Amino acid sequence: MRSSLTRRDLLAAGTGLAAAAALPALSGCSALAAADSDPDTLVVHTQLGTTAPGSPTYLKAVDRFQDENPGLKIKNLINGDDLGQVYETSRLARKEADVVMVNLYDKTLAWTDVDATVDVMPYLDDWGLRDRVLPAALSAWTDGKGRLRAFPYFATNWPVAFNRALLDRAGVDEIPTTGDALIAAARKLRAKGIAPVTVGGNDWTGQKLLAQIIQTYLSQEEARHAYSTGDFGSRGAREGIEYFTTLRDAGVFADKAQGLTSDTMTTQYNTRSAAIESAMSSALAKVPAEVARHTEVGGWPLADGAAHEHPTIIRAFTLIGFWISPNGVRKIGHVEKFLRFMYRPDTVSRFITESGRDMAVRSDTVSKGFPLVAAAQRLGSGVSEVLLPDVYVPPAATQPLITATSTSFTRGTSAAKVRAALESAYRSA
Amino acid sequence: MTTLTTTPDGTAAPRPVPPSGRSSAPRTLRQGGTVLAVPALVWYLLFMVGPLLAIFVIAALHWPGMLQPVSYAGLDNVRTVRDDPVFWDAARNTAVQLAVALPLMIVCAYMLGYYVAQRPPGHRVIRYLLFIPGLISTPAKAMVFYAALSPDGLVNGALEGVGLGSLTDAWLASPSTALACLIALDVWSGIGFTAVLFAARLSSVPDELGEAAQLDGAGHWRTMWTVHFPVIRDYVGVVTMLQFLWTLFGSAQHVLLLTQGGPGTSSTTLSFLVYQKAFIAADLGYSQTVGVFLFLVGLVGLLAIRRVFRQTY
Repeated sequence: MRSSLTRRDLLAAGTGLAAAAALPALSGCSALAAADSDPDTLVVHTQLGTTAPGSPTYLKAVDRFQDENPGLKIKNLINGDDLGQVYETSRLARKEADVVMVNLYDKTLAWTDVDATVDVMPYLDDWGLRDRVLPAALSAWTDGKGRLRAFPYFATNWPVAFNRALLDRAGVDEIPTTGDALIAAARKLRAKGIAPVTVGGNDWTGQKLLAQIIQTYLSQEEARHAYSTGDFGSRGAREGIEYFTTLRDAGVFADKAQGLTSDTMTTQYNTRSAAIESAMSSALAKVPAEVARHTEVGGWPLADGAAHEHPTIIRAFTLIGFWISPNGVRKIGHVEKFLRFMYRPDTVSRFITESGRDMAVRSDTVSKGFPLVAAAQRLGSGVSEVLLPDVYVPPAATQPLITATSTSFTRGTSAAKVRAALESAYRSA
Repeated sequence: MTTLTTTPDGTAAPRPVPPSGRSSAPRTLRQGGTVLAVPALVWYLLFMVGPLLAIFVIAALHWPGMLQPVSYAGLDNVRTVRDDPVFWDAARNTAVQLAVALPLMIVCAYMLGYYVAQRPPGHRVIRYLLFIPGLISTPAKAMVFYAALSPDGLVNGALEGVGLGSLTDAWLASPSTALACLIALDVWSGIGFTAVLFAARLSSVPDELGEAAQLDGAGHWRTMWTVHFPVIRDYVGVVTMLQFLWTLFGSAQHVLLLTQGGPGTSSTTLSFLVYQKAFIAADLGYSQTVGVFLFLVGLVGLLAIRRVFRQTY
């Protein structure tokens, strides 16, 4: 009896030891840990790699980089909207990637402050890449303390896309440039069963369009103040909100806009169910050819007493940039090679020609395959620019602001309630 | 009259009597048993009790982001939560969700289970069919519902097909129907599984009970509620408690995948608020304060349900 018990004990102990030894190997972290400690592997945490616009071009660029640099490997960690949170978790464990490719938005605004990433200004100058970057992009990425948060890369023109064929079918001869013209056009479009302006009221697309419309009555300085502090009490802000609610209640936005997402928005526009959308260049790049042929880009219509001269668009340089982490500093030689490669004119050109992305890096290439993106680039001074609020909204207010946007897009919400919702989003900030 | 109890020990198992002259062996047996349980105990303390205590600790901290500095906040978070209309919206939504989904699920599942337990023709097939939602992963279920409820999805297509095209709507995008869609998903995914559980339990209720009732003139409806239900009463309690906890704590996944709490806050539930505040908005103190509240609600609900459904004989 006793001897069999001992044997069973032994067996149990042995299995336990074996399991304990096998556990690290079974856990997924093992591959990453190996990559982390391998000095010849650069770990890049990126949003490009699956469906984000520019992913195929990026993956091919990585392959070419590895071909040109034998012995140096790149390991991509791909995340979507949750990249900020995943990176922060890995940084807490001191196992973060070496290079991060993400927008300046929400959580990433605080990264340079909390040592999640490093100031890259010294590297920009050491590596002689300052001239490669557009000056507007450099200033957008530099924070109040003179630190360059990341190497700028992607930019966007964010115009309004109008489907001329649908407008013509409804009897709208010209692209609306005033709020009244837009309301009249919306009425005619609805009579033909076409949704006028489609927008993802439930997510970031709605937030940007709402910000754009409010800024009709705000100068860039005032807009900066409003979005940094959450004070929407100025006259311009209140008028902007009223302009928005007037348009909304006149039926300018698609039905149930408050619940639509960016996916539904682009689907509605690309399948000709809606005539107008406010789209950034990566969305414009994905408009199918038969719709793009009839699409013209322009700005958002103005109203009387607006603070701008022309219909407005958003122009931003703070889309995906290359951030360097403290772990990356330890492999700075490889990071330098990688960034020099990504900044090379031919690499930058490929993003323009193959993916239709706008770049914050200087380039002479013009995108021929993406007529809408090129058209947006050519808008020049025919449109006025308003701010992309991303860079000014404190991280704690970002998500509540998106929820407040959805409330704002709900028909019947008064202008006062919209203002209250927007301001309360900043309560925890 | 045969008294049925849920515990199977009609006859007590004989206690092991240590044979004389080997009094030391059972002591070693018992000691060996305790030692073998220590790893499990350590695991439990570390991964169950630890995080539970952490909820209370973090709820008292001001922690505005994973990498941000942490400071003590005391009851400030409770005040913030109490003053936040989003929290009250979420609490109301959760109450509605439980009040509608739970009775609907349990009552329907009980009736389905009773039907299956009568062994109608094809009852084995029905059991498998009922169990299918339990075999599908949550994201897959959510995606099925997302596709069905989208503006050009199955539901709208069906309505148009039967000529009710005027009733079509963007179900997930409407403040009035978003929560209803979530409740529908909860009920659909829970009902089959629960029905199978009930059917299994009802199958072990002796047939004589049902037959006796029918001989006395009772129809199936009366038999179901007045004869079988009291017999498996505390089993119903256990199942209700489980569904209560699953719905209360598990709704975050469904909300995240279907509506992200929108439009506005119309489909935000408390457990989704915990997730949203922790990972999307990165206000960890607030998130865990809601977590404490949720924990207490779960505890109270659990005890209440068990008490209501305790075996009364």
